[in-house]
Order: sequence, then structure tokens, then C-alpha cells
Amino acid sequence: MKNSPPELADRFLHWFCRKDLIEFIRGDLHELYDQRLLSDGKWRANLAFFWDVLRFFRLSNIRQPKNSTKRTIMIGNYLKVGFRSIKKNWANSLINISGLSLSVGCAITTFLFADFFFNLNSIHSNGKNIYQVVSHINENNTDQLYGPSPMIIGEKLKDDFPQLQESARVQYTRGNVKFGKNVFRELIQFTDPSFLQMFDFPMTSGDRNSLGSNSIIISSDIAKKYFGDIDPMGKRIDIKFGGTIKSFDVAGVFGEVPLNTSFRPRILLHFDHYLSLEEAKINWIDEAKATFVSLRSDANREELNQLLKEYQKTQNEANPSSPVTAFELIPFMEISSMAGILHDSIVQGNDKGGTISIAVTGILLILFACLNYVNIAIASATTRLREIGVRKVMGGSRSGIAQQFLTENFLTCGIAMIIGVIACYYLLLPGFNKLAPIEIPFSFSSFSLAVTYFVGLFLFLGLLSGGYPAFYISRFQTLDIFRGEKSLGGKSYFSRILLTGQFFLAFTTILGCFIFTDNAQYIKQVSWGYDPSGILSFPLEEKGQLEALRNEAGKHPGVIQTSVSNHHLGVNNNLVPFDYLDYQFKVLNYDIEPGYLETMNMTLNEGRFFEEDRGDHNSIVVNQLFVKEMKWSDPLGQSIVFQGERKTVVGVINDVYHAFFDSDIQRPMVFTSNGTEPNFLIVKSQANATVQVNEYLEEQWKTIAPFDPFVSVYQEDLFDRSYENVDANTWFMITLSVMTIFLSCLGLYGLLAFTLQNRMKEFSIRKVLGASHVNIIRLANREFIWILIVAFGFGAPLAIWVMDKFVKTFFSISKPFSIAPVAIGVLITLFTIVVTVYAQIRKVTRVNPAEVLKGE
Amino acid sequence: MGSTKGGNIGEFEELVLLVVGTLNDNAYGVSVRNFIIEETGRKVNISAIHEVLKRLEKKKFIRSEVGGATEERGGRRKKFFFLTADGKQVLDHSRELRNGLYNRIPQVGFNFSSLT
Repeated sequence: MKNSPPELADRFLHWFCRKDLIEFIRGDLHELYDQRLLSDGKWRANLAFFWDVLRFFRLSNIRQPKNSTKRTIMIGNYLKVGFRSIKKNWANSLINISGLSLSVGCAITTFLFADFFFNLNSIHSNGKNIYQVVSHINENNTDQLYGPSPMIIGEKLKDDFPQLQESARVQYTRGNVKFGKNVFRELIQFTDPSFLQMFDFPMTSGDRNSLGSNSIIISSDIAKKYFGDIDPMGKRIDIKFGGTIKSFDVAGVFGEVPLNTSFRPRILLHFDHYLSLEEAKINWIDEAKATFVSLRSDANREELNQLLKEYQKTQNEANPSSPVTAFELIPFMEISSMAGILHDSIVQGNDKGGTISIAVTGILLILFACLNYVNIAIASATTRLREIGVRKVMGGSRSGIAQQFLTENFLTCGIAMIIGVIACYYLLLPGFNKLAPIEIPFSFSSFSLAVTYFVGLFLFLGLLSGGYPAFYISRFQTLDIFRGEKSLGGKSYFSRILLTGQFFLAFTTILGCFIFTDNAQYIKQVSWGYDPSGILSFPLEEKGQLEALRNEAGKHPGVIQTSVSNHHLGVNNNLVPFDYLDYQFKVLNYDIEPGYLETMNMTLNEGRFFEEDRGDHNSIVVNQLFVKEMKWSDPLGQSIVFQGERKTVVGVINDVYHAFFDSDIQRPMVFTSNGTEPNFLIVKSQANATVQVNEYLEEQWKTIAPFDPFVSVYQEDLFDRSYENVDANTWFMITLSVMTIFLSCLGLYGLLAFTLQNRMKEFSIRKVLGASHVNIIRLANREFIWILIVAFGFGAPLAIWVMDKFVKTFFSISKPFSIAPVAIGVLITLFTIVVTVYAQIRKVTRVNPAEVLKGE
Repeated sequence: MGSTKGGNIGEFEELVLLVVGTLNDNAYGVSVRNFIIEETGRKVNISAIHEVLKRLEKKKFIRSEVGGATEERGGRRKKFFFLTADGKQVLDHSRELRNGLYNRIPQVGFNFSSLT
């Protein structure tokens, strides 16, 4: 058999080559091939053939697209006709464009959101080589990740593992920062100097190596807050930590940090200050809030894991009371997507699932909008059958017609894109930012990404929504059109299934929305277990100040009772391990003055509160959960060892909430009365006098401690931010459900228009023969009612099931299921559907049958 | 482009033109390529030959005729090229120019100092 050149290359040549040249080119190539076959062998001949074909692939040999000039001329016409048809069918166009632009707006917003989160903290050029050392801890037999790690682990790693470049610890305390007359309480970060080598926080002035024993580096907003327009460099700042005052010279100022940085130092001091202030030691017991290390990119991870295993053993021996089950290095870039997984993390962020689900939502919205558009576009083409027929008769080719519809479609998409971008910029993104706790700028991580995204979205939108109609419409036979035989499509099961899917989602989200809102409202009314109104608390570390302020508080007539404590419910919770006999769990411990529980309006379940004259040093008051955890049937008089001392339970209080309902609330609590140095003053006032009391005390504070900031907390406001968060989530759900309802009604509108257009003649004949409006409405809607029933039948149970789970993870208490929110959701959906259907059905009921039938 | 420049042609174009003239009745893509490879040892791709032939034909230095179908190319016809009068003139012209200039190279040898 004769050898022939590779077919693939030959076909490629055939595809691109100009018709007038192909014979000679091909002939030459084949002749050469045969020559080479003899001299070089088959394999090399094939290769050379491929190469030659590629070399012929140049502009002068490539076939020009057919009648390209005609095409460019026609595009003007297509655009004109496109604009006219948008104007003519303004109602349809309005629906199309608004649906598309809404989803484009959402798609852009969600993309910005995802882009933002996937590029979080990308300013750090070495970011991918930075890791945080985290601890695995076994809590109630589940593995939990904690951010803090032993103080020593960074140094140890640096000694034992040469491929590790730097390590830096981070810790925080609060202190009163003073410059001139400006005194504020600030969160102060302590870190090793290598921290600024690892992370690329920009500096506007000063040196990033200047973090020493007397120097301080501050952020630009701190500089503005304390120094205003003065240059802060070299200025002396006093910071008061508890009882000690230290002075520092400003050695550097950070520049503006991009918004997508979720971890930014504001006031930075050398780590040694932390060690001396807190009397912390570099050992396996004391912990740093975070330890970051940077590895060489070729580091041997196996060896490192081995080391970490050894460290785990060392730690367990050194600190048997809170053993770690493992240490792990987690890439810094991933930490921001571990919110909720990594406890006590100093890097904020979002969890990955959330980011992805938001991105998926955006894609789904776009898909639905496109599919709705397909239905509406095909339906509206019926009114233009004559135009298509005439175009075909006048010599319009099939591809020409398809092009016309595509052009029109891209026109619509272009308008929708513009409106979508505007909607995103002015409406959706600001709205989103208002709801979310983080600010997302209208910017992309790179310019090329932005261009790719917009061009991609435009093409995707245009082809997806316009491709099928263009293909479908252009296929019509001219004769069929003029004979009037062309009815559009049969039953499109595809679009019916799609519509069912959309309504399924619409039902799910709207029911979910109402169930969530119902729960969110319920949460707001849930009792905290005590009455927080009228309670003020003041974090005070100095005994003299505390006594003085308490004294002043006693003088105000609005004050009912005052008390002091070490740690304070809700404001400063103290979670400590409890280890007694077989019981091992974490409890909240507050060391209080007798009278604290009464001041806090707590209620007794049994026993008594602490009493002043009883000498309650060896007594404790616990909550019901503690009793439950200990499995006591008669808690009073039980004795345990707590923090090394034997204690007797004298009272049990009813459970109270120390944290908002979205976290692991309600821990076992132990109130002791050891007389530890108090750090909180609690003032209970008459509910209507709280503000006056606060103002009065602020006034007095100026004479008590002119150099310390006045800090007070209204117990009532404790959960305000969490309530706002719940509100934000509620709004998010409402927006989402409004959008799905809107889009699915658009879909219904489109499909209905399609059906009615097809059956107009049938309905007209029925009307002539005496069918009533009710009859016709019923006929027209029969199939849609089934769609709705199916969607509801699947959607409602799913919504109820999913929301039940969701609400339970979101709030630790949930309202028992009630029918009211479901009923409201269903009613609203049905109402929207009825309005949509009515808008279309009106056409049928109003039409004069003669108008439709006269053409026959 | 080149046709407006009074028949100036490039070096490779001239070579191809010469080969077309040399091959007389048998100048088509493959034969021109093979001839150039054999005579000059240059590596030429067939597509480059086609390109130049197209250009020369456009400048009217060669004309083409479609030959009869032959067995060896799967029945495909060959496009034969012939030198036109214009083409011949261009070759003559460039040869004259070259010879003229060559003859004016001083016989003394390449005395560079006298050139400057």
C-alpha cells in the first residue's frame, strides 16, 4: 500500500488554504513527501510534512472569510434593526435587560468578592514561604486547631532546622497610649524584629530594622490619631501597661496597607517588652498568640514533621495539664480562609466554603438570566418571522440571519453589561460592603484579569444567551414561514425542566429566607439569662482608681449597687481548664466580690449567693451546666478541687449567656470568691439613669486619673455587633431570594409568552366558539401549575431541612419550626407568580379573535 | 511593493528568478526548491519558494501555466513558471549593474587607504 501523508495535517491544510492555491501547494507537498519517504523514512517525512503545512499557514495563503465586505456593511443594518426591535418590544427588552443586568451586576460583585478573598494578604511577596505554627488540641474527643503555640517553638525550630529562615512571635496586650493630651486605650502588638523581614508591610518613614528596646513603629492611622499633622518620627510616646509606664520613640511609620490585607499591625513593640511585662518565659508552657516561620522553598517537609512530632512529646512532658496532640505548619496564605476552623487566629478572613458558595451563586444567577433570555428571545422571534422570511428571500444567508440575531443579542448584552457594572458600582457592592464586616474595593487584583473577565463575561453572555436562538431561528425555511406553517418549536421539555429548577430554587431561597428571618427575630428576644439593662462596667487595673471611682459611683442617686470582680461576664471571659478526677473540660471562671451576682441580676436556682460575712473563700457558685457536666443530682454541698484548692458548692445559678448565640455559648461556670485583685468595677443603675451615671462618672474620672482614658461598657450593648451581623445576614438572604424570585418569574414570563404566542390561534378559535376567560386562563396555565407544584413539592421540604441545619450551626439556639414563615414565603411567591402570569394572560383575554384569525 | 521600485528585487527573489529561467520548461515549486538546495546548499522551505513565486508573478517577472495531471502527485496538476520578458530584463539589468560595479573595483587591490 502506498504511504500517504498524515491526514490531520492534510485536513488542516484543506481547512485554511485558499481554494485557488490549494491544488499546487498540496501537490508540491505530496511530491516532497514522497521524495522524503524514500530518502528519510516515514517518520521524518511525516514530521517534515507537518512542519511544511505549518509554514504554509500564513496570511497570504489563508482563505478569506466569504463576502466579508457584505458582512461589515450588514452589521450597521443589524445594529439599526436591533435598536428598533429593542424599542418596539420595549416591555420584553426591559425585562431582558433588567434581568441580564441584575445578574451581570451580581456576577461582577461576586467575582470581586472571590477575587478579593483569594488574593487576601497578597502584598507579602514572600507570603507563600511563611507558615504559622498551630496547635492541635483534643477537646471533648474532637480535634481542634488553635493559633497560639509555645513561646519557645520558633527559636527551637530555628536552631534545629537549618532550612528555616526566620521566626517571629506575636502577642498582644492592651495599654493606655499617651502623647501630649491624647490618651487612648489601644491594642498593642509585640513581635520579634524578624517579623518585619518576613512581612512586607510598606513603610513611609523610618527603617524596618529599627524595632529595638526603646523604639515603636506605628501605623499611619495611629500617627494621624495622635500626632495630627506633626511628623511623628522621633517623638516620644508613653504607654501605660497596668501599673508600669514605659516610653518609646517613634522609629517608623507604616504606609497605607491595601484593603485586601486582613492582618495589619497598628502599634508595634519589641517582643522582649511582652516577656518582661507579663513575666512570661520562653518555655513550652507560656504561649505566643502566633508564631510565624519562613522556610526556604526547598525545605524538607518530612524532616520538619519529624521535628514537630518530637516537640509535641516535649510539650506534653513540660505541660501535662494542657497537652497538644500535634503541631502543624499552616501556610500563611491559607490562614485567612480558615475562619471558624482555626481558633484564636490573629489573621482575619473568610472561610473558603463561603467564598466559593458566593462565587457559585453568581454563576447560577448568570446562567438563569441567560436561559430566561433564550426563552424570551425565541418567543419574540415569532413576531419577526416575516422579516426573517424577507431577508432570506432577498438573499440573506443562514449565517447572515444567525449573525443578525447574534448582533442584536450582543447589543442587548452590551447594554446589560454597562447597566450591570453601574449597578455593581453604585448599588450592589456598596450594599454588600455595608452588610459584610469587611470592605471590598471595586478593583481587580490585576488589570489583565479585569480585561479577561469583562471580555469573557461579555462573550459568554452573548453566546450563551444568543447562540441557540440565532441557530434556531436561522434554520427556518422561507416557504414554511410564508405559508404560515412555521410554529415555533413543539414542547420544549428542556425549558420546562429549567423553569422547574428555577422555581425550585426560588421556593428554597424564599422559604429559607423567611425561616432565617423568623429565627433572627427570635434570637433578638431570647433572654440572656439575666437583665443587662442599667449595668455598666469599667475595666480598671489600678486598685486606687477602682476604689475612687466606686466611691464616686456610690454618691450618685441613680446607682443601685456596685461590685468588683476579676474578669467580667460577657466583657472579659476567663476560660480555664477544669481537671478533677475523671472530669476534664473547660469552664468559665470569674473571681468575684460577694454581691457581684446580685449586681448582675442573676437568678438563683438553688442554694445561696456569696455572703459578705460568711467567709466564702472556700465556697463556689456554679451554673446549671456545670451541675449537668458533673452529673450531680444534689449539687449543694458537693466538694471539688478547683485550681488547686478544695471548694464547696453553695449555690447554683440559672444559666446565662456570656457570648452571643452564634458561638459555643453556655459553658459551665464557676464563680469563686478568692479575693483576687479585681480588674472590673460593675455599677448597676436605675434603667433610666444609666446614661447620666456614665456621664457623671466620666466627669469624675478626669479628676481621678487625668492621664488614663475613660472606658465604660454598657452591658446591654454587648451583643450589638452580633445583632448587626445577624441583620446583615438577613438582608443578604432577602436580597438573594428577591433575585431568584425575580429571575424565575422572568423565566415564567418568557415561557408563557412563548406558549401563548404559539397557541394564540387556538385560543382565538376557542373564544369565537364561546370559551370564557376563565376557561382560557385555565388552559394556558395548566402546565405551569404542574411546574409550580413540582418545584414547591421538592423545594419546600428541602428549604425547611436545610434551614433547620443552617440555623442550628449559625445560632446555638433555634426556634422550633413554625408554619407562619413558610406560609408567608409561599404567599409572596404565589403573588409574584400571579402578577407575572396576569401580565401575559391579559394579552390573550384582550385580543380580538378577528385580529389573529384574519390572516387565515 | 517592490514593483514600484523600478524592478528592484531582493537577493532571494533574484535567485529564484534565475532558477526559474534555468529550469526553463520544468520550473514548479518542488523543482525550484530541489534545484536551489542542490546548487547552493541553502536550507529553503517549500512555503518560502511559493511565497517568492507568488510575489514574482505579481510583479510580472514570471508567468504561470497549469500543467497536466501527473501520476506522482495523486493526480494533482503542477503550476509551471516561465520567465517573462520583464523578468529577463530585470536579470540582465542586475547582472549589468553587478558586472559594472565589479569592474570598477580598483585593480591595484583592495587599497582601503585610498577609499577614505
